[in-house]
Amino acid sequence: MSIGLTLLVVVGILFLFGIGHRVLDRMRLNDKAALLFMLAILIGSLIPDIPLGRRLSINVGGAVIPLILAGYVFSKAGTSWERTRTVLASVLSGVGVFIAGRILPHEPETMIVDPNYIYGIIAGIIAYLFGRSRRASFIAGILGVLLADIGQGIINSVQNIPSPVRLGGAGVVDAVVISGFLAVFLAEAVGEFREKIQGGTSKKDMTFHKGEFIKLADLDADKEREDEGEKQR
Amino acid sequence: MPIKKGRMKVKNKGRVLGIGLITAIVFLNMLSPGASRADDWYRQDEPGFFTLFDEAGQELTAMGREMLKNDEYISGDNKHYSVIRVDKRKRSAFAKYLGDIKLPEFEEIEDWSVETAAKGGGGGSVLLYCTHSDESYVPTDGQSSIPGKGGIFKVAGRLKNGLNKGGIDAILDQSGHEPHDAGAYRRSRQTAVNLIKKNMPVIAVFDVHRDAVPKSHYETTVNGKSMSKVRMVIGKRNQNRNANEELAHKIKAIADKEHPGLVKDIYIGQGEYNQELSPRSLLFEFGTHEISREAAEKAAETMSDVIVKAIKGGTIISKPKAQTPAPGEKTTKPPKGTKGKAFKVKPISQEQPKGAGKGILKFIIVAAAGLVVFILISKSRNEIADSFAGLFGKKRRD
Repeated sequence: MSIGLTLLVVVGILFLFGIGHRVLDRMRLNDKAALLFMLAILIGSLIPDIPLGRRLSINVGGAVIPLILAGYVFSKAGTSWERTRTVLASVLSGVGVFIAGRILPHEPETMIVDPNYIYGIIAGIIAYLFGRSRRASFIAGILGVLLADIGQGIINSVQNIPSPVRLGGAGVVDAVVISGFLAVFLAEAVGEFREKIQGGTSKKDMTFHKGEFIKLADLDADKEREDEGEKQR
Repeated sequence: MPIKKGRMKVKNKGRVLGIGLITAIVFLNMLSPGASRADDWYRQDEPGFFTLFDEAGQELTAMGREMLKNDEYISGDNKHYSVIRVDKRKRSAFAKYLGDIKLPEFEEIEDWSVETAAKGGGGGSVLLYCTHSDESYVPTDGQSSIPGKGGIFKVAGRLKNGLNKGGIDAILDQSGHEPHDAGAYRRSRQTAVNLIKKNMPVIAVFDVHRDAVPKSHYETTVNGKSMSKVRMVIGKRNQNRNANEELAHKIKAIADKEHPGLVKDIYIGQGEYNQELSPRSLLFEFGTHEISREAAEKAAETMSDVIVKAIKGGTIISKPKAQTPAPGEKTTKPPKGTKGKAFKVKPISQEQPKGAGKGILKFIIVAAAGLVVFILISKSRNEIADSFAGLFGKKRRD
């Protein structure tokens, strides 16, 4: 490949790297952790897929690392209610992505938004509606695409269609990663936009608890639940 | 309690707004006659394909994909058009003539009696896959769609064999990407990335398809042999567009000289078609579902010869135009005693691609625009002013 074309590919990778780093930064991962995760996604993308079955495989950079990241972010969720909302958002996002695949036009040029980004946008909106946080958006963005792929794999297997299911198979440029990142950007943009419209932060009647802004009522409820848990123990 | 009710109301408003937004996106994306109809997109009773006309109302072409405003079209005779208006109901599009496209020119050589073997091109692989792995040819395969085992793989296989014979390391991935729905390109993206990953360095990546228009649009005779025409499709929405166009132009220039009639045209549509993954990515349409698979396979073999010369270089012979075959006659030869012209094609490795520079520039512009929008949304006026104040040495506000 000529120097120009190589540069073109390198610029593309750096572009993605920058976006990824920025997204992880918005989820309050420190610089080092964000860089490490991005490197892991990039290097993991180059490793051959791990076979999980006859027609099922998983990519390290495109699915395993994003899943680990989602798990880490999930464990940092402030309240149990946030966790419940995240799980709900992820399932709904999976259903949304699956349905979108079925009802949207099948040729990319007929779509206003390219197929690689439409899933991220759908997952992002669903995640924002039901998760209401960057963390929930990220998790739902990632799980939405993976769940939809697993669902399609089951249908293909029942119908005996010999199409493989490669979870996150395109690595760093897979819809799994793109959806996760895009969902965070969307949550960020929608959140900021709403804040501007309503003329200031809605967090003025909130409190900062466990790394997250939560409503005072939610904090009380969470504390009560924790106290009950301790009492039962 | 009344306050709580008020809050709930606001919360519900947000959800209703969001659900409305999703519905709007899905609906907007569905606003196409091709929505979710996969291979029944083209129907005999109701032509599902789009027809392109020039401003004078002359038919230019037809395509089994939706045409959109600002799509571009390069006709077989190298005329460049831009779609200015689309009538979705009538499935018609109208294009404005922009001028003639200048295809690459090759150095004419005197001694062409012995065809020099292609030598250059450098190392690397040509990667092939079929996004719509069900696409088939009705006269040969019996149906237009065979999930996971479409006749298109045989056409792609013929292209691969031809490239291998010409000394190119061509690899065909026969993964299926069913169902033939909006997710097919997302799934084939995984195939393309895996191919690239396993076969670096990559010379080019080709996605092999067939069209869905009446066969009359693709029937042709090339150097006296009956076969299908080939269309190249390029995506507009990616940074590799110029690099991809350069290769498409070179392929067309070679084919027009040595196998006139083989390349039908070049369509530049709004999609990405996974062409952003690697420079020199092209989508080929070999014939249509109404044409026999043999005709498409013949076209694939002829195209492989063109691609080998485009990549490795060599000598191309432009023969005098053959006479129209007489009824019942299968092949014709150029009149005896007439001499053609010979041209020398440079290998791809000796070319200076201009498209890459334009791609990088586009990338930087898009990134900068994205950054500005993001800053405008996420920062307040004071924060932005402070950032700039810092730049010019002014003291920041506390």
